[in-house]
Amino acid sequence: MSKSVVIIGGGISGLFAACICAKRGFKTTVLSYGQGALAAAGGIIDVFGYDEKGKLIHDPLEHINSLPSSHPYGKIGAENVEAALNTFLKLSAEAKYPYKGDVHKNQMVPTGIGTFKPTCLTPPTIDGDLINHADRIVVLGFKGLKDYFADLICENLRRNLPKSSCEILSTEILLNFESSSACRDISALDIARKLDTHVGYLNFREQIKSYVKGKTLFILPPVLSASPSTDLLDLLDIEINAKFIEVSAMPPSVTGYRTELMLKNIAEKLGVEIIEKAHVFASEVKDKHCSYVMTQGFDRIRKYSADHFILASGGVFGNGLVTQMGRMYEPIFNIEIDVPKNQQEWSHQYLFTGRPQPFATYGIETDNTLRPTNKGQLLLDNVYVVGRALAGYDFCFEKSGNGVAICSAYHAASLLE
Amino acid sequence: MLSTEVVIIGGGATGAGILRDLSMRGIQAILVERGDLGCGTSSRFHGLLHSGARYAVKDKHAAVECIEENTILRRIGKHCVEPINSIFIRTKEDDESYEEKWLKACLDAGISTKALSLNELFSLEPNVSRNVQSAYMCPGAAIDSFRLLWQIFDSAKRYGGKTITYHNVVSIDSSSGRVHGVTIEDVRTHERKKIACSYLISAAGPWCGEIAAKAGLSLKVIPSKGSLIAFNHRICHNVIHRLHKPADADIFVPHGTVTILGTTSINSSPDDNSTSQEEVKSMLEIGKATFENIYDYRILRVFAGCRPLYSADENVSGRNASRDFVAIDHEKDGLSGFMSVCGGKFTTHRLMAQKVCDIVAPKLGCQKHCQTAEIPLIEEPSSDLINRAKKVFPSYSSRLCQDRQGPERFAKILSNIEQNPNQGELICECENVTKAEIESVALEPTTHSISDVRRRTRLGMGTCQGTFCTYRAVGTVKRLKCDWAEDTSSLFKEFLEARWKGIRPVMWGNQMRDVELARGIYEVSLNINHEGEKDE
Ligand SMILES: Cc1cc2nc3c(=O)[nH]c(=O)nc-3n(C[C@H](O)[C@H](O)[C@H](O)COP(=O)(O)OP(=O)(O)OC[C@H]3O[C@@H](n4cnc5c(N)ncnc54)[C@H](O)[C@@H]3O)c2cc1C
Ligand SMILES: Cc1cc2nc3c(=O)[nH]c(=O)nc-3n(C[C@H](O)[C@H](O)[C@H](O)COP(=O)(O)OP(=O)(O)OC[C@H]3O[C@@H](n4cnc5c(N)ncnc54)[C@H](O)[C@@H]3O)c2cc1C
Repeated sequence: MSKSVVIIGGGISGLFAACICAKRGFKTTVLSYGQGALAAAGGIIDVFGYDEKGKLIHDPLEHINSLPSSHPYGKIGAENVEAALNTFLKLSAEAKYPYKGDVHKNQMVPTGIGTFKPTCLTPPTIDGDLINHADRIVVLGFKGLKDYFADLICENLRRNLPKSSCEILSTEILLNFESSSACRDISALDIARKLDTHVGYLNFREQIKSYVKGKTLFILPPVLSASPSTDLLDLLDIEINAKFIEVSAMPPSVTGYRTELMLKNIAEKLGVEIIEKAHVFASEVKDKHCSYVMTQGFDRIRKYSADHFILASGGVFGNGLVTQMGRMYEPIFNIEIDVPKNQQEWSHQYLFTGRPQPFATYGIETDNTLRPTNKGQLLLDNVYVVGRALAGYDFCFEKSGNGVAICSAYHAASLLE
Repeated sequence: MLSTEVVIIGGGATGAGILRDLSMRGIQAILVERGDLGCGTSSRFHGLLHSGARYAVKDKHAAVECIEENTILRRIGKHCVEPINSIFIRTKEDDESYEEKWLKACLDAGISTKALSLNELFSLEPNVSRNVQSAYMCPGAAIDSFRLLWQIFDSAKRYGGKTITYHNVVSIDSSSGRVHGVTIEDVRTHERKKIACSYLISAAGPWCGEIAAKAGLSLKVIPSKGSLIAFNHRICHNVIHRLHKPADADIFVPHGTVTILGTTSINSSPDDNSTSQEEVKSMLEIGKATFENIYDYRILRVFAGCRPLYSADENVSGRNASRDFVAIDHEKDGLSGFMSVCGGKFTTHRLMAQKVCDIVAPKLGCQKHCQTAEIPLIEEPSSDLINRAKKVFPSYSSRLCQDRQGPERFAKILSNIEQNPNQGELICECENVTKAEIESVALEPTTHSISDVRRRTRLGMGTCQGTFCTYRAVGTVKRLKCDWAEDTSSLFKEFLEARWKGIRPVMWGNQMRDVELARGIYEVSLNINHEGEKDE
């Protein structure tokens, strides 16, 4: 009989770990409760954007080679990082939602305020390269879409692309929604769903057609389909001969939502059992060995036993780590995180200081196999920690969130025997 | 050169009150404030419109002033007062014998005290500790300082009063023992200007000592710092006091969507508004006697302000110093045409102003009497306006907007939304602020940052503490092409850093989740830290 893995948490790290485990022949179960950071974050995979001084990194993989073992990448190793990211590229291509990118190169992609951010792998709707080949950039807005400002993006793009000879303009189009202004606000997800309908698509196409002149690139909110598919892009390419690039924007994150769906589809095809609304609240551990974890769903308490466990429950945002005044802990295995008692030491005086924030690096310490340790002592021999719960990196500052999640998931899943 | 009869230094409650009073008497006055209106102690306070009951035992005089001013402000500033009550509870920890003394003192001061049965108390305030022994209801209330201040300035303006904000008074000009003007400096451009005047009033709160020093005088002001904790929700419907001798952390004031617990008393410097974990810890521990589940309530932020306590005695400090106010005519120090006004309370600012103006006006040959207690700060909006607003404003924002902006601005905001329904979009959902309201405030000549917009609208002061609305606010003000809104990255940082300051000392639990979300949005998704060009 094949060995079993239970993965706690259905964010990007949990789902990707599940895919790898299943591919390797493990009987894989994901216990998932609530939404992961993907619902708020982008589906772009940052690997490493800025060094500790805030200097832009051009070759993320090369930089990873220089990191100490206190950093998750230092534990995973550059070789595994490369393998992980390439596996991700391959899986996404097989799922017909091909990510693009090169582990040796950062791409600059536009943001919702017209700045650029470095990232490594991008979904088909965000190809940073397109900016370099456009003669005309049209920043497209949608009337009634609250969290998007086409004119702001346009103004800052003009400032941030000074050498470019391309023309940059902005405009707003109107799609009709049943929910008028008196009802709920319109989000990018509503528009994406609208464009997935035939009528919505035609309406959209007709309104933007006249803006296409020469090599035209539309910059727009993440609305090009609510599902992980390139059908809409392909159709637009054929019918109006223009390129599109979505900005990284405010929540809810449509790009993250697509990536989550893609990973869920892949996992389910590989036979992974994903159990939703399964809140893991406790574990049974004897002699550093976990035999089962317990969930509380809406019906009753259940036990899930397995040979291996992967803890992919996220950081403070995902509730994988819990904080109180002067204290942080992991609630399922009761791992105390070594943090200063004095809150003053948790952070710098300013939020945006040009250096990493101490609190962001708090998380679970592990050995090189990603199993939790306390002052170098192994705490659990069959539990692996992946993703945001890991200590030693500030994903916001260095721009490495989804990268660490994917690479640690891959590393842990590859280590299982 | 600018010239006027009176220059007032300080745009807090005291200065505002004086400006309105002088203007209503027909005396020309210019008020100079180094920051935004109300950025000093008058916003870093508890927001309690005292009934006087807290002071009744120790200081009958102060108690009487409070109850009188409370009644006046509920009338003239009705849009700024939440008409709730104060409930005084005596817990097991509090001295029983104080109760009787207190009841008698309140009676003497004319403060009503209605005894509540425990059943009545718990049905009014279900979260209050079951350790309560007795409870009384008094006429205390919550008061919105920014709103009140802004309405006072608006009112003063109608009578000709002028204000200059973001200007520091750098020197006091005098000759032959008489003040004849001040030199002010624009805090952004550092440009200097002189204002000539016949009389100078320093209403600089805890900075009164520093101002006096600029004229070579010495004035003993004890800056006594107090910290306050803002909770995410209304944990009580009325103000809850402990019935005991005034002490730290014994008052909870509900304000709109939040509740504020305070306070402490530590000798400090006027510019110190830092807060420490120790203070938070000790306030929560004391607060537990009032609300047993206090540790389960989410803290939004902490902040601190400095009381301007005046003392003629060098050795007195903190809670022992008088909370009464003083008006010192520096003629006794050999400099005429100059008065310092400090101490007192927010609640009694109007009365302080009246007393000061009663002294100053005759010196300037004006015999008119004070009218500030009779005439409301703003007019009531017409019922037509209110009915039109109900049709177009989202949820309950029309009433809030009315109260915050007064009838004239409100009418403009309303017609803006009527003409373009998109302008009714809520930028700040926690505090119900529409795009039209943000734009109206952003275009005011006194607005220079998103924090200034916040002080007039409550933008970003609710649960999300700016996480969602900062982006929208920046996008909205950028569109207006205001001169202060050039650089996108600075707009974000100015506002988010100001919010961060209060969150930082209490960053745990859900507050820390929110910080991670905010950093994810602004630092990762929008990369505001690196507004560089594409090819570095
Ligand atoms: C606003 C924002 C923007 C971002 N933008 C980017 C970006 O552009 N690029 C990038 O690379 N990274 C970005 N990141 C970072 C990135 O999203 C995260 O680092 C990454 O998603 C973390 O994945 P994770 O699987 O470790 O954790 P999460 O996504 O937090 O997943 C953890 C999951 O476990 C569940 N869980 C927790 N406890 C339990 C339990 N007891 N039982 C069952 N389930 C549980 C949670 O509900 C959640 O579903 C962003 C993050 C944020 C917040
Ligand atoms: C923690 C705390 C809680 C309180 N709670 C309450 C309460 O619940 N109820 C109540 O009634 N009272 C309360 N008070 C008291 C009340 O807040 C103060 O008495 C009142 O706000 C003082 O107002 P002010 O105008 O005198 O001073 P401020 O509001 O401090 O105004 C002085 C102004 O002068 C400006 N200034 C300083 N130097 C210069 C310069 N060189 N040039 C130009 N401008 C300058 C400052 O920027 C400042 O805005 C509280 C006080 C504290 C500290």
